[in-house]
Amino acid sequence: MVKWTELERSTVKAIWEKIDIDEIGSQIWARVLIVYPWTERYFGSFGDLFTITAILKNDKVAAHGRMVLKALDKAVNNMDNMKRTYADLSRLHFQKLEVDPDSFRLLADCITITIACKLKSALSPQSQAIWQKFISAVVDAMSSQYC
Amino acid sequence: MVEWSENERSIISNIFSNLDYNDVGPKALVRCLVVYPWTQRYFSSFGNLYNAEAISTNPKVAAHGIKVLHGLDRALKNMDNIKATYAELSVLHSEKLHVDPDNFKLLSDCLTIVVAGKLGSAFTPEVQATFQKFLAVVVSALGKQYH
Repeated sequence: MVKWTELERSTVKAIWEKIDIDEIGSQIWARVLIVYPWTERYFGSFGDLFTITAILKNDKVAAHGRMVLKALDKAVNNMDNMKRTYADLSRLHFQKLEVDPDSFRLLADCITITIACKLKSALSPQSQAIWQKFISAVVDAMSSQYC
Repeated sequence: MVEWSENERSIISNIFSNLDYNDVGPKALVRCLVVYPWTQRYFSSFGNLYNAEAISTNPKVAAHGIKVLHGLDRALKNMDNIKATYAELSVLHSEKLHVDPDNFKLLSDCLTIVVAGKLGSAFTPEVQATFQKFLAVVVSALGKQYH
C-alpha cells in the first residue's frame, strides 16, 4: 500500500480542487490522441478523428475525458485504497477493452501537462513531484488486474 | 533521418525564440532534481541540494540549467542532423560523466512541463506533440554513442 504524508494528501487535494472537470476533461484526451496517435485504435466508435481539428471538436472525445476525470476523483478520495478502488475498472480495461497498460502512463503524462498549462507556476516542483507520485499510483492500480 | 514539416519547424522555432533561457533553464533543472531526486548524484560539486528550497536557490544549478538549455540551440540550428550534432556530447555523457541515459528523458519531461506552464493554453496538443518529437530526437541522439 502506498504511504502518503499529510502534506502529500493536502497537495493532491489542493491541485484537484483547482481542476474544472468539464474544462480539463476535454483537453486531456485531445492531447493523448494528437500526441500519441496510435491510441486512436481504441476509439473506432468516436467518429471523425482524422485531423487535429476534428479531434479538438469531437464531442465524444470531450465526454470521455470528463468521464476519466470523474473516475480520477475516486482516487483523490480513496488515496489509501487505490488498488481496490480501481480493481473492477482495471479488469474491464484488461479483459473487455483490451487496452495496452502503457496507455495509462501516456494518459497520466497528458493529464499532468494539462494541469501544468492551467496552474502554470502554481504547479511548483514539489507539487509536481507529489502529483506524479499520486498519478503513478493510479496507473499502478489500473494495471493491477492485468496478468 | 528524422523528417520535419514546415509547420513543425516553425512551431519549434517559435517556442525557442520566445523562451527566456535564464528563467526556463534553471526551472527545468530544478524540477528534475526535485521530482527525480536520484539525479542529484551527478551534481555533488554543486553544494547544498538538501531540499527543494536549497535546490531552487542554488546558483550552480541555475547556471547549469541555462547551459543545458542553450545546448538545445545546437539541435534547433541543425534539425536535419541532430544525431551528428550531439555525437561528441553523447560520448562525453557516456564515457566521462557516466550519466544514465534514462535521465535525458527525465530532464526533457521536466522541460516540457516548464514550457507548458509558461505557454498555458498556447501549449496546444499540436504544439505539445511537436515539442515532444523534437526532445525525443535530442534524447535519442544523446544516447546514441553509449555502448
